[in-house]
Amino acid sequence: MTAVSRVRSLLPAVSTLARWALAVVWGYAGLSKVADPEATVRAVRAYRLLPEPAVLVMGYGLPFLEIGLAVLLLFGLATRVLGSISALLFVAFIVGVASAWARGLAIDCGCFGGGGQIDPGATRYVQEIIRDVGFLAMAAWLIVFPRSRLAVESRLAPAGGSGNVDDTDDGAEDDGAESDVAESETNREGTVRR
Amino acid sequence: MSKTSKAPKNDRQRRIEEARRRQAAQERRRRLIIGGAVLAVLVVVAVIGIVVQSNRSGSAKSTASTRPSGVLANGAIPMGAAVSAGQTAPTLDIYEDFQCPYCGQLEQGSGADLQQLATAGSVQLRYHLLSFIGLDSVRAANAAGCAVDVGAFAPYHAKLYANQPKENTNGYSTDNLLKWGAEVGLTTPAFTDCVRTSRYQGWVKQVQDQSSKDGIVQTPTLLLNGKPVDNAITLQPAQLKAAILAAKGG
Repeated sequence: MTAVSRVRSLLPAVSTLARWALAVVWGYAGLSKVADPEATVRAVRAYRLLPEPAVLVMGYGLPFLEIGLAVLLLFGLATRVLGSISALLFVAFIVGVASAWARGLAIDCGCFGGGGQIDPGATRYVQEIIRDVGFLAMAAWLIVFPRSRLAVESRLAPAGGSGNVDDTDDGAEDDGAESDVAESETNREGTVRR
Repeated sequence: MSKTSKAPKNDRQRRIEEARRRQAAQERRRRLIIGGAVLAVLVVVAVIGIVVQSNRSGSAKSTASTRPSGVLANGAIPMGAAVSAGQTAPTLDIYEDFQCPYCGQLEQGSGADLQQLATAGSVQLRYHLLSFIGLDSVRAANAAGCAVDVGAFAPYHAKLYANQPKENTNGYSTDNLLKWGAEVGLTTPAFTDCVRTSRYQGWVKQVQDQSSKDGIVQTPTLLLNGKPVDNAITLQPAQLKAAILAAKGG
């Protein structure tokens, strides 16, 4: 086993950690908002970026979307899709916070409940943006390395296939020129059967 | 795929390539199905959330009917010159939070002036008691609403600011709010009961929501005849007074 393949064999485990960490982030974000829709709507409105109807849709829908993302990430379904949606949301949040900062608003991001206008001395835009960039990095990791251990998607049999799930624990890292090609592709599972 | 595009050398390799292509296609289809299902689930969940939450907050709104006597439709507490035909006094909307330090400064600097102008009929004040800083703000705003009912808003308002605690340290506790009420003569059971039961909680929420809809993004915010007063003037008592006196009724 070469050093490269050893590192590569660790990637699914790292992806699992990233997946669960993001699940916790979304779950916490969603649960802390879902109990008080009014406050969430206020938090969204405080950004002064969206028209009122969109504010309501966002304030009511976002917490549920976040919880949905959390559950799906936890189980590991369509990890790359979830990573992409997560990344999009984080980019949107970063843009929102930065724009509030740039416009001189004094708001809390409301990322984990609360939110809305706050005392001008109490803003924490830098911390909020740094935190979101960290989350964005985890989401980006999942886009690049979506395959992870303990993921439901890798246990679902390929459609019409023989139900081969042998590479869920890719311990037998396929070391061969051909599998390297396969590795570089989106669809990794199943390709090693032959 | 680069590998598969190369010309296979023999039948066995060709079969392998073909099998692999088939498998790749299957795999892609499987991923499309899972990805699509996941997207669909998220959309459905979000839509359910929107429906559920809008129903919930709709029912919350209808309970916000209990309000202090005399407050305006938007929840503001009016004070001073009544707005009537021929009245030339300007209106001054004051958005404040009992916990906000700058609101405390505004009250220290201009509170007395504003009362005097209002009593003289030179301005109509409209207090919007926001409560975004924390639970202390909510309790204080509720108690101030209770004071409105007994015609003691102005002295109680001044009293609360004179004792403004550090933010979110439970300084506006129910006991403190009652104690300071007693110091300005608010000792009736009605007031005590109103403070203790948070009778105007719904109104406090309504005021906060309304200000958020009105685009108030900081406190204190002053609107003179509906137009924002420059921050530089807000905390300069002499300039603020001059601006009010210079303004005509809107």
